[in-house]
Amino acid sequence: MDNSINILLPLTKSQTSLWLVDKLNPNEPINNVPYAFYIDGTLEPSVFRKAFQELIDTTDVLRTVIIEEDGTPQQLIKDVFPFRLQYFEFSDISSSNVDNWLQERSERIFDKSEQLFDSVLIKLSPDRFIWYLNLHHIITDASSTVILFDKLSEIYGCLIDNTSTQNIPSYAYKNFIDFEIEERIENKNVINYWNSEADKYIEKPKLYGEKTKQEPTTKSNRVELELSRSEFNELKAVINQPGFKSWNDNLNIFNAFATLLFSYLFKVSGEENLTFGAPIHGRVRKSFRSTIGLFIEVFPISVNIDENDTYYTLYKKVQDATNHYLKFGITGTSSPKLNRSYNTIFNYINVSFSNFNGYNTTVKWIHPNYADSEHKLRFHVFDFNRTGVLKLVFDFNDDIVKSSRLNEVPIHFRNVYNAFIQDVNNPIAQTSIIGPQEVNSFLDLRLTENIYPNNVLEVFNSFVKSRPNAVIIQSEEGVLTFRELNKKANQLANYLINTGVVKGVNIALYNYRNTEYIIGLLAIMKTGGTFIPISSDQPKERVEYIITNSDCSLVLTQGSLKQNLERIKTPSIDLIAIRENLKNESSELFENQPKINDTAYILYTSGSTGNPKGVIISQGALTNYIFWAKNYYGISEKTILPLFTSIGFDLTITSTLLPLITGGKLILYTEPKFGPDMSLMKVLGENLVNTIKLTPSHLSLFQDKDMRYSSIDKIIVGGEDFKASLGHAITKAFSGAVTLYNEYGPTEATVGCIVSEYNPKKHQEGSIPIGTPIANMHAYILDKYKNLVPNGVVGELYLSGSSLADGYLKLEELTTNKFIENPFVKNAKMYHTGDLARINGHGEYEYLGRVDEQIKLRGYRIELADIESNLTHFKGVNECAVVLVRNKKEYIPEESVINCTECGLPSNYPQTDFDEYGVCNLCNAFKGYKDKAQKYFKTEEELKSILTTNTENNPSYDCLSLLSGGKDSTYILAQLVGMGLKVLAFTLDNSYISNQAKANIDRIVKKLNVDHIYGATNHMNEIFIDSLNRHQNVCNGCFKTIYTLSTKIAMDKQIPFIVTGLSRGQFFETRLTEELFWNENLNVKKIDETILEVRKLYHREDDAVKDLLEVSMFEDDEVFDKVQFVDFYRYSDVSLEDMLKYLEDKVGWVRPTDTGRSTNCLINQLGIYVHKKEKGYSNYSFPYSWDVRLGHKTRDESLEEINEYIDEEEVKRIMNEIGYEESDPFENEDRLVAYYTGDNSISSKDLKKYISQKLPAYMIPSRFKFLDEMPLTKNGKVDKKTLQGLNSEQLELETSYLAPRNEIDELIEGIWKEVLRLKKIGIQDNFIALGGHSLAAIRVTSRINEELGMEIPLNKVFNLPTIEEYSNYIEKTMLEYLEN
Amino acid sequence: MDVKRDVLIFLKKDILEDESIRIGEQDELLTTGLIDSVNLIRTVRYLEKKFKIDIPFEDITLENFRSIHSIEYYVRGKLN
Repeated sequence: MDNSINILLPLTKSQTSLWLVDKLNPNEPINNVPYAFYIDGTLEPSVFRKAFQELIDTTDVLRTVIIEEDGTPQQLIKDVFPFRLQYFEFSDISSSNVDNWLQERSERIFDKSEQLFDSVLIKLSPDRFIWYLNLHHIITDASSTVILFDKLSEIYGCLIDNTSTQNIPSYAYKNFIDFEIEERIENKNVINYWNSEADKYIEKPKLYGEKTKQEPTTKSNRVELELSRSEFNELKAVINQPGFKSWNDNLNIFNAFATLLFSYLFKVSGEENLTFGAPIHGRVRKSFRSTIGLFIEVFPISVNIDENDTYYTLYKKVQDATNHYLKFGITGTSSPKLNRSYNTIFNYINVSFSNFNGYNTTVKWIHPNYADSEHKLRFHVFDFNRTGVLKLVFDFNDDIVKSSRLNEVPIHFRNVYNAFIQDVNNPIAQTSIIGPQEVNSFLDLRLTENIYPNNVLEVFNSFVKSRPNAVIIQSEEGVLTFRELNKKANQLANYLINTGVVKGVNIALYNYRNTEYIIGLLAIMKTGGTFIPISSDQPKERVEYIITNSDCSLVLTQGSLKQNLERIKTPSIDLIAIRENLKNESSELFENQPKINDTAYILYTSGSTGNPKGVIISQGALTNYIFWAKNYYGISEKTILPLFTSIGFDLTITSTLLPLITGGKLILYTEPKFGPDMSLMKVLGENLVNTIKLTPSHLSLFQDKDMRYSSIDKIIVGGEDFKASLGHAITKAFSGAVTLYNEYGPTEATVGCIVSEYNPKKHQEGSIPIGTPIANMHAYILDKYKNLVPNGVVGELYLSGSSLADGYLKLEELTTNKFIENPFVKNAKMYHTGDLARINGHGEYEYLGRVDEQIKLRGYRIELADIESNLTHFKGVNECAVVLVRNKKEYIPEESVINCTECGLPSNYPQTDFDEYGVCNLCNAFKGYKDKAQKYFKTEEELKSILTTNTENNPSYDCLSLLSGGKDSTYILAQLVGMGLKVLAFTLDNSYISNQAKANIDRIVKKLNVDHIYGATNHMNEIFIDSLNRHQNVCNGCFKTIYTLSTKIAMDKQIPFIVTGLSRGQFFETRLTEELFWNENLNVKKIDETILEVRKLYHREDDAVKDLLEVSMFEDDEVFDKVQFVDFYRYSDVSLEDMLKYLEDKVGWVRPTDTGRSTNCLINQLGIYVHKKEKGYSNYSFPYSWDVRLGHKTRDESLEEINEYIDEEEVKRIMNEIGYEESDPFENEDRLVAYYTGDNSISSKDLKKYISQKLPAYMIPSRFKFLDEMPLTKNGKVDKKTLQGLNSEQLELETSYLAPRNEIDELIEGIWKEVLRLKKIGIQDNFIALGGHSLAAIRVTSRINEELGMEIPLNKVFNLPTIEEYSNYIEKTMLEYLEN
Repeated sequence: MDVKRDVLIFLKKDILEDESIRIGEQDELLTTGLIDSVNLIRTVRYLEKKFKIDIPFEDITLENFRSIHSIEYYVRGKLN
């Protein structure tokens, strides 16, 4: 019996997780577990009510409430808990039906400090009742409900029969709480194991392709799928085969549904690494099986599905994973963090409810419509009462699957289920899971052949007739009307025919964007030829290649461009030179009307072989696009378009041809022969056009401009990903008076084939969707195995229809690979774009990047393989990998930086986490060792005794006091003098001390009557620059100079102590780390020894100070004995107020006003400026946060000082003065980096020169880096992610990247990465070159020692400064240890 | 080392909480539901700790854990 009086207990781990979920979502009934029991019988309500009270009296969890003290929850079990069960007849209530009533009631939120359950008895008819019971999850689980139900039934029976209820057993949940605590203590290693596992599951699969939102909803939608007895039997038959067996049937069924769930998740996410959480029942003791309360604890199960997996092989993987899960799923070892490390929950519930007191009872678990937003899918398999019928329940987060799409879910799952039943040896990859309705949505648009009857030429001719005098071309050279243009084109065509041009030949148009280009293009069409546009800025080799490769019979060109044709034999015509001749040609022409299968043009795009490839576009394809564009964009004779983009760019076709078929006007913006092309600026400046087509990169150039007076009202964007933010900015710039279109399409599908109109209301985040397919085009989204994917799921985009190209010129194999048979439409091809896409909730296609590595850089489509294969042609280069390195400075924009609510540390400080109260991880961690850290600090008495003992033996001075002239150091000097010590004051004149500060110093030393020395070095500027490069500040360089110079003086004059003015916050920047306080038995002496070791290393670190100043004294350890450093504020805890008062009264110190800031050093702000620019936050953020944490500054004071104004002009002046060069602003942009192996004597310069002859400028990598060996992925492919992860400092290193070889390497790499805050470290990279300094050495060494249980000395990391050497040393030490 | 006795005590004390219960040496433990998968794994962990042996997953089979007798046989095999 449960005989407790009011008792207070902690929550179990599982309870804590649920409590936290409530905390995060206080207004939603996420943790309600409501049931309705339909009881067919004549219940006696008064007895039922009495029985319910007895249930409460004998069930401790029903008398439990949750209380909070200082934010810590505890459960209070009350001794007595009177409750009057509500009872009514359903006809009494106003709700229209029972279900609605139940639903509404179930969504009530519990006040956990009052009551954790709700219950009502409802009479539906004299012999049918509903017992409604809703418990908070924190006191229940599925088994509990059964126990509770049975218990109430039994009590009710006894009361009806008038027999005693004494013999009904009751077990207290309290016993489990005790058990859980014991298990938790005993299994610390398992807790650690799960913690490290949780870190691995950071990437959660995007179910139905949905990204996790910033503020996810807790709304949850339920859909069910029932499996009949025979269907379930089929499954059982499969898993009863040999090879499937587990230890018992339940585990078999669990494993089968886990396999099905994983397969389903694989299909609806496209991810191969999958994890879900599943509860372990936790009722491991017999008494627990009869105890009511929350016993279950959720643990993750994880598998990796690969493309060869069949349902059977996956089942075997699941078996292993489940074993693992069971082995480590020990009561009390989960955590809220683990609980939130997966987004799917699998719940197999096989409980059985009996009848209520002999009355037939049916059970309904009501869905409260809300669930933890972290768990996007809760999948329940209900095997209630072993009826042989299974109910599969899917609770989907509303962000992922809206209720309108819910009914697709069971179809998808059933298809997986059916494939499993059909043949477990079916490859999972091959299963197609979508239903007929979704299939049809891809095929709805009909692919009718050529709904546009006309071709370009025919329509152009009609305008020549109907609008002969309308101006069609306008350029610097003047204007041309339709008639004039037609005449010139006819004359050129006749000229060409006379030189032998016949229908079907290829003619290159290697020209500028000028009238000649348009005339040439028209003339070629008129002769029935195919035009091949080559822009004027292509490198010679590429021009030669295109012309030769396409077997052009002729090149139309002009002027100096001809020089690039001297090495090839193809005849060329200079369009300017023949102008006079053309006048003699007839202006009448018998045109060859093009047929739809004739080739209109061939466009060369970046190819993977190192050479561009020619895409063949037929007249039919061109017609389909251009006439669709005319209709869709509403292009008319009023439309004025500019021609200002490269003619070799497929996007340019739109601007070039639309005016010819609409009667509008084309304004030509000819590119300059040399120098940058500023045509876009001209277009905007002249303000003559009303429609423009361009790339987002171009568009972004005028997002900050005032475009309200622009004549442009229509913008067609194409060529690369179009961000909603840009759409927003442009709409704003135009004050809304502009229509933006996003057009998607590869050259292989003629310019554009999927389009959307930007809608500022609908398209607010991420990229603007690419929309829906254009006329006569299909766009399929397929998985890797060419199954259509469900709506939402990411897949590869395939295109089919009238706009498809005919293939690649002379590349039959590539053509066959890329233009494959369309499995959905007979006798049609489909083109494999290699682009990733999905269909969003509005039915729009979204573009999600390239499958392979073809990339877009500043609007240019670049096949990285193109650059690579060109580079590998260079003698001495073996392998080559080119990666696009994205802007490395992924800083949080300044406006969204938040500061720790306690210490003010900014959120962009590396590796900072904030908890739900906005408190940073440093503050939270510090709370754990605050008391220990206090022991490091000492009293003024101790200081006095250190400094004053032995004074009579000092030949000159008792101590040297570092005086910067600021308040802190001035105070120290005064105090030391006050102690009666002979003090020598030392100031470093770094030539940037303000005049007032200097006056302060002079006055003070005079007033205190102490000797004073100004130290100086003429290497100061070099030291500043070195410090800025190494630490992104000036202070580090200054500090080291001060220590070096002052130590020298102290040695010379035999002064035993140097007293520093470091603040307590600065201790944590320069001396102390968290790791020093890890030890259970804190030993201050040992910390001092470690700090001394660090100091030795510090002075031996290689930098400008070591190179330029006299440092030989540090070679000998003796110096550290003879001259000891004493940090004054380790002993003094004086408040700012007292200090200032003291200074004013005794010393006459005044705050300098001539620095404009709270410092007395003029160069200080240069350091802050550089630090902020390079790292995003001030170098004072960290030490000041410690000052706040230690109570020496308030948060506001600290933030005020950190955010002080920086005079940029002055900063630039000082930069110039000391000769510091700011980093290249282009460093912040995306750039191409080429890695290569082979001969390491090749210079970057040579590679760059070589590649510039081969490729256009936009394809030239900005950096070339030699590697000993290419890093490879598990599949043996070049690991480009790793290459992309190297930062600019690492790129500068002499050494090349080498991946870890073994576990020890990995362990060290992991620790170095954390401490040095890097993404990747090669095992031959040098610790110091990576920015490792003495403090980092403490952290690294402590962590490695902790991890391995070793005692590696601190200096090893400097003696063996690479992961490779360090790792070898560890291995050797371990082996020696084992042998002994 | 009395494997049989230790296993019996563990089952009775830590799982079934009934020291009076009789479990025959050959009684089926798994197929009867006397111990379920969670408790089977607890037993495995107990054996690993108690006898300082490593029990790989492929060894956790019906054959090896069917009864007290088979557990004893298996553990003795591991110890030798």
